Amino acid sequence: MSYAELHCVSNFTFLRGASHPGELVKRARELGYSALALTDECSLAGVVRAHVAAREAGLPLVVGSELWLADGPALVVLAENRAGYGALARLITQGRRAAPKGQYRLTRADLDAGLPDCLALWLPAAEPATGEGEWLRERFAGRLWVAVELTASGADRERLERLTVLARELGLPAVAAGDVHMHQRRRRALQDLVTAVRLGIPVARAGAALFPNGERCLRPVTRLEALYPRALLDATREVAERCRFSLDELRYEYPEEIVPVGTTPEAQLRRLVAAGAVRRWPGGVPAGVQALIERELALVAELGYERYFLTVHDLVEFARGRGILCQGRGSAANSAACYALGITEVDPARMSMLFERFISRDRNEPPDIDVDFEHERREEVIQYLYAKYGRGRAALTATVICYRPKSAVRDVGKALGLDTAQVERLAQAMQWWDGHESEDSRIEEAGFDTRSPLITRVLALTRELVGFPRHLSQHTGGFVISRGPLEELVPVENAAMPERTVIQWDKDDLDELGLLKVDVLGLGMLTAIRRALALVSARRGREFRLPDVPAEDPAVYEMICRADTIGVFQIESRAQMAMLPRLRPKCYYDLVIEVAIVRPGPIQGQMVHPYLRRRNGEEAVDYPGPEVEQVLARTLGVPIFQEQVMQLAIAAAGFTPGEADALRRAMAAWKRRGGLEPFEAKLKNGLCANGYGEEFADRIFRQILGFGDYGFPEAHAASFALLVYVSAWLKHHEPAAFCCALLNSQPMGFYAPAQLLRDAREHGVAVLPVDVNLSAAESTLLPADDGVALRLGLDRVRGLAREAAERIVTARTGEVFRRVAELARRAGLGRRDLAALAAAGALAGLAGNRHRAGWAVLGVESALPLLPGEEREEGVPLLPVPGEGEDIVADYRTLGFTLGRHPLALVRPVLERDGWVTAAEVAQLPDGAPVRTGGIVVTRQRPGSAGGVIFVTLEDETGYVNLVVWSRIADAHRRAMLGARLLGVRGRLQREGEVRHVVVDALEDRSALLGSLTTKARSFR
Amino acid sequence: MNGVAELLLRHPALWRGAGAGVPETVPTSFRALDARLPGGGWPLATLIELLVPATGVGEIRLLLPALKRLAMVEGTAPRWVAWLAPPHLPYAPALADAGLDPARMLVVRPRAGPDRLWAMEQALRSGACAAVLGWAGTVDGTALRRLKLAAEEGRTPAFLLRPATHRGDGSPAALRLVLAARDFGLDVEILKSRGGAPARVERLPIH
Amino acid sequence: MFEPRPAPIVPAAASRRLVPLPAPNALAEPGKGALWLAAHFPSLPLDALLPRACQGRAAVVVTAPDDPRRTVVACNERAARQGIAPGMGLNAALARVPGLRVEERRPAAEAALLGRLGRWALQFTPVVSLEPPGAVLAEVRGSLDLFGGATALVRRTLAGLSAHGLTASIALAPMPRAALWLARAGLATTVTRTDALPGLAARLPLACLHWPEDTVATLAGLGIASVADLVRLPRTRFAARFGPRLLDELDEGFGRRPAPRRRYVVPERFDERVELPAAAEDAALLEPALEHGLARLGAFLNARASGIRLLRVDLLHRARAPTRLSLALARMAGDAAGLRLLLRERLGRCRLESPVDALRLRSGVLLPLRIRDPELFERGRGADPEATARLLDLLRARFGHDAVFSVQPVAEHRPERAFRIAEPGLADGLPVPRPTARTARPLWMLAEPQPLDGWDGTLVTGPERIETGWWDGHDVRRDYYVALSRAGVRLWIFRERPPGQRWFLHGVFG
Repeated sequence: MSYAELHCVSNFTFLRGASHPGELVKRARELGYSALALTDECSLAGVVRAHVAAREAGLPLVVGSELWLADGPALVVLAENRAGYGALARLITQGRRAAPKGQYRLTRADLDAGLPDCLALWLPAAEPATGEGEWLRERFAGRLWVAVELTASGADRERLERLTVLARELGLPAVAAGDVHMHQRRRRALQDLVTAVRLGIPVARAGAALFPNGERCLRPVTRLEALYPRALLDATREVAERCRFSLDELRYEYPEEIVPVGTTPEAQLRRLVAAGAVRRWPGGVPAGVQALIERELALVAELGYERYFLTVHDLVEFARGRGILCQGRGSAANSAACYALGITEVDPARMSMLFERFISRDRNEPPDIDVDFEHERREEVIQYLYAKYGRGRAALTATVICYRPKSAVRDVGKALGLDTAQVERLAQAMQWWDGHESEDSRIEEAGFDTRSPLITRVLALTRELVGFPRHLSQHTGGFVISRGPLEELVPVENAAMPERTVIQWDKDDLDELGLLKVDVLGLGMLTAIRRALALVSARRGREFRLPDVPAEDPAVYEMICRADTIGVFQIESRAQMAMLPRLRPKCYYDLVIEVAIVRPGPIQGQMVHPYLRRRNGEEAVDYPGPEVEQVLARTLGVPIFQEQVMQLAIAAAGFTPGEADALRRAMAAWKRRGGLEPFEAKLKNGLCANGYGEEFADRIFRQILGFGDYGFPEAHAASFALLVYVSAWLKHHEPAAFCCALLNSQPMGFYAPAQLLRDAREHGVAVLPVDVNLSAAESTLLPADDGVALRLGLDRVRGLAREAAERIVTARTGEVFRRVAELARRAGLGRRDLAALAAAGALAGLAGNRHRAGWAVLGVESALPLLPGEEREEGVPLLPVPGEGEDIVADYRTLGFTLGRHPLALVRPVLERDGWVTAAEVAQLPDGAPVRTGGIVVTRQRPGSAGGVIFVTLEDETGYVNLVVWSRIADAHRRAMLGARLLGVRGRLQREGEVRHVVVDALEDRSALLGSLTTKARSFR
Repeated sequence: MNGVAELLLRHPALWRGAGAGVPETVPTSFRALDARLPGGGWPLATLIELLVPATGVGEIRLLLPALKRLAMVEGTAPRWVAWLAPPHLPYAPALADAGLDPARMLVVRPRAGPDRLWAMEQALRSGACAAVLGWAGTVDGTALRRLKLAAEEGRTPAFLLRPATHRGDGSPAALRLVLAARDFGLDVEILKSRGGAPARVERLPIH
Repeated sequence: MFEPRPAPIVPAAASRRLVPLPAPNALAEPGKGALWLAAHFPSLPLDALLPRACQGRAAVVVTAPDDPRRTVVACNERAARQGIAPGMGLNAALARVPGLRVEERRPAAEAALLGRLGRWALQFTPVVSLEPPGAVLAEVRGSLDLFGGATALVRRTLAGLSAHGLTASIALAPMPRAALWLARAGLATTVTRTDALPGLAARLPLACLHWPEDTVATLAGLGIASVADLVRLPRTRFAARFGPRLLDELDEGFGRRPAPRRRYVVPERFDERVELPAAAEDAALLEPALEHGLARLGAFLNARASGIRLLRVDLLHRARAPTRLSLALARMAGDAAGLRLLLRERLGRCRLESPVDALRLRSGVLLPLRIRDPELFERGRGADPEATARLLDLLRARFGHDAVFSVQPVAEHRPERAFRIAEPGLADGLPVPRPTARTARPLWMLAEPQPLDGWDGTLVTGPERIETGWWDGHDVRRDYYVALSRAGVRLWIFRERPPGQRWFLHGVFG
């Protein structure tokens, strides 16, 4: 006797289902079900996960959906075959597109023509409406069943009798179903909880909205046999057996228009690559490169990927045509062919990378190329995609937003009746929670008793809820493009942004089914580089393009080795800066390694120090075996890149390429879903069997865990390294243009305008203040006595609308402003805009200091209705003159930086009395010296990989001090740690070459000193 | 608005007996029983005694349809039903299922003895209730007469529930019934009815 | 003129502890116009919620509930010591003190406390004015002699407040608004002459004006930090920029414009004592005195066309604490007749522990008497609200409040929690959704399920499986059946799901 569950929702029926698709499949298999239908409500978002689990478990999976028509009835639709699946996906799309994000609306009209190649189960209401059955019978003739769902309501017998009679009257077969919401009965608490969250009320008040019992789980067949007549159970198998569709049947078909009529994809790609190669190598393609191109094209042809490369090429061509800077990266991007096609700028002659390293014959999945575009112009590219393929064939992939500890504990806490303040306190305490009991101490610190039944319940449910999908969001730039209508492949729904649509699958799902996707990403640095190049071109009076940047300039590498890299792409973070003087990059490939080495993978695998030692010749470069030498030679025998670890698994641990790929995928997902354990044993045993030490095996595995956070393959690093070099070159040779471009591309990077400006001024760039008569909307460069000066733009003024800045510039043409009222009238500025300008000191030329300008601005409002030319001049009353301290504070408040003295310079006498030394003096101290210093807090970071350490950067008038604060110290000085703007520090200097940290023993909050800046003696004018 | 009299006339659940001397009644909603009762239902504004062998034979299910007619009059706020010294707590969901407004059930749990009858008397006399249900054991004749008077004065039906062992006691009640469970129904014996004759109704289909 | 004095002005807010007030050099001269005392209570939002004695060792903050940032509006000393200050966001406060106790501001409680403070201030002068949100004004010129001068008065005031666990900052000035400014600024000072104020203006920060936040921010942006900076501005242009109302306020403060205050009047209540001719040992002997008191109450209410919903009667004994009786009425009583009946019932239930010497009758708040009291009970015409209310009062007077009640269904699957005892007639207005597809419920529920051992009746329908309730620690797992006992009684019974498996009786269908 066996049973197929035909009505089952997973947690992709958000806040209703209480089990993951995989859990449902696994449990159905354990219980000996003959099949399981996943029927999420108007959604196929969970089917790929169910499909994967079902394939592993060897359980037939039926794809379907539960639908509640707005004008009745409710039904379950199951796809019989590919055509039925397409029809179902189209119907879901229709319902989702007709309603706001996250909802759907289907009516009888949508189903009026029935649904071809689908079976239907009617879900009659408590008082079944015979009319609904008749209506459905007309549309699903011979394909309709009456679902009998018995859930121990106390009237099961009556329900069964009633529906049996009803089915007989309508001439329909009846079938058993379970209305399943969870894989096991003990999930009922979580099911109640998500119900309460859905309704926005505490569980205790959810009352009748909760299920009275846990019967809506996958029940043992023996129990079902006791409930249902045999015929109804047999019918489930008949229904399931009619559904022959499998997601494996979906195979991506590339768009056709990418290949001109009359030619083949292969010929077209060959033609474009050849033409590109001529452009790249005007003097003739080197023989080695030509051979490489031939090998690559042969591989592409063998795997049938031509259309993919053509699609990406088309996109890049469009961007180039529009002058949008872009660069490809990803597994297939770093090839000679891609270089020829203009997809990347990484010259294969400059770096020997093997295409086969990135595209594998064994992996049955399409190549992966992400293309970065200037972040401000990415939208144009997206619109091009929509225009070219139509909305019906191009859509963004989804990102499944899942519960994280903080969001989970918020919802659980609220649903269990904690008040807002308690919930917030708990959420704070769970900031870094990873679900382990050992973390409970933090919760106790926050004043909760983890042994109290309520908190125990909250924590247990939070643990279960973490990882549950919460809703679908749009991926930042992952596009899927299809040959036929996309909505017959996967349902499409509305995104939060108007006019955006998103498919119901995320990138993992597409990967799993082998569907093609192109990542259209935005990268701020590309915008900044384009702007900097334009500024340089303008100044030099001739066009200066990316390829014009001279390669391998030793002066640039010298600057990089000094860690003088504020503003430079990727290597400006504190950790990168600490690495630069040790790694001392000398060439492009060193930058590739630099970009990849300061990542959780190599750090957790403890590969950084071995690499540095070998590079500095302190340790011999040797290899455990020849197969490893091939893999690791370019990184001196130390695995740095994600690919190397995969290859190591194959070469030294006996993995098949397929297994290695499964490992790669598990790596990306283990944080969310776990599932790395089987690989751990295999990897370690394999390595040990091949003569590698246990310690090495352990490190490799930890490195794999680290990659899970930010997998950073060599292919990505190679593309990024190019931008590192270009931005460093600009910083070194064109510091004013570089700083100006960065300012105009904000927000981006690690540093705020204050640090960028300070750095530029230290490199000799003259910076001029914002002035309503002199500044453009953005920051600009202008000729100065010794080269160029940077004039800050009106966009630096906080609170000034962008449109207002533009109106000012337009209105100023021809004639400068002389009075505030005149400015207001000619530029059509409101009081808010004027006040922002006055506060920022941008009206100094018109009205004097901030206070006087502010008074003038307040007077304008009443003057506004006056006719042009009638501006009254009224005297300015006695107002206090802002002191230097006040001006500095106001600068920070209104601009975010000051061109005046650093605030600490003003209070330095006090600090000296307290024995503080400056950042510059700290830099001169020997290793191990005690330090007493302090400064303005610029950054506080608590990297997940750093084991409870907090990194703090302080700034004073002479430079920066980097702090390392152990969590013990941070906890002891919690208040200063979290609240101080001016932080005093006592500690010990730790230095290693050029790298210096202060390891902190004690902290104190001296912020009050900053407050004293504004209360100095005042004069009136 | 002409007051209570007019309201009573428009009261869909009430009807006036055809002849003089026949009390106003409300149907019990059990056809077989209505046929045997003078006026076709429970007499209003007087004392009715229900004698039961045990709590739960169906005595409340027998009364519920009439209580609903009396208390829930369309177009007006629900009226009160007083429950005096009930053997258990009336269960709100069941009352709601029966169509009564549980918020209008006035439950009184007095201490034992004469207090119960005093409370019942007050409830009847106040005229505030659509019906008054009271539970009592041994009650002397004077007390019963006082209850009857109070019911008449307050124009309120008084249902007094007592153990069947008291069937032999003399009583001024206008109607006295003895109830007994049988199979899935209720046997009703009309011991005494003013203006009617003793009779038996068997297996009333109470659910 | 502002009297110069040797001791420095001590800002009360800075120390938060009450500092002894330095003695003013000159006593106020009597008969020279008004002198206003302003008392500002910086932590009123907290004091109103949680008297200091109840704060224990916790760090407590009060937040505004409707504020999305949940700004801290007040905090206690312990919280302040850990770096919390009013104006801080709640998240920031929690980050500093994880174990923080957070209370939500209750404007009603604050108003009530301010009212109590106003009443308390009436002991010093009949002219008192409340200045919400956190200050009280009192005109004290006439009282100075009575209390031995300004210093003594202030000292006495502070001592009185301190005894109640309250912190205040107190200042005196001829203009009520000026006194408020000084008090809010924490300048514990006495200004006796109008023209002395300008000399102090530089020490009055903008915040003491209680002007709208954005106005204060705008002024601060002009470099204006104090009232002195403000008055330096040209009047008309100030008014043009900030509106005439603020200028008027400044003028009021500096005595250039009268500032009438609304006088605070204490809400009236009845509170009288009736002596007994001889100590009464039996409740019946209290009747004449009660009669007397009720008659006076009746006259009192009659004169004010008011009614009450609460009457307290204290039976005063010679050697022990009074016996307190409290009558909460379902309907408003406007005459003594109804009260008499109820009190008689109430006294009838009362055994005197000790002889009674006197009675004290105290009313609750007076309510304007309407012909009918529409608040309670009736929304329709089906029942007589007066009659019901009378019945309810009567039954409760005799049996006690809790013996009379109604029941209400609660949307909940666990049968024993699917109802609650409710105030008769006061449905909360929300229809209770009935769980769909639920089977019938019995009319009689047992207070506790009773074990059924050796049960041999017939199961009629079922099972109805109920397994829920995990969230409050009373998870039930039961299969319910309708069953018929041998005596023909229809029962509602259940079997515990594993591990118990025992049968229980839970209800009788009735």
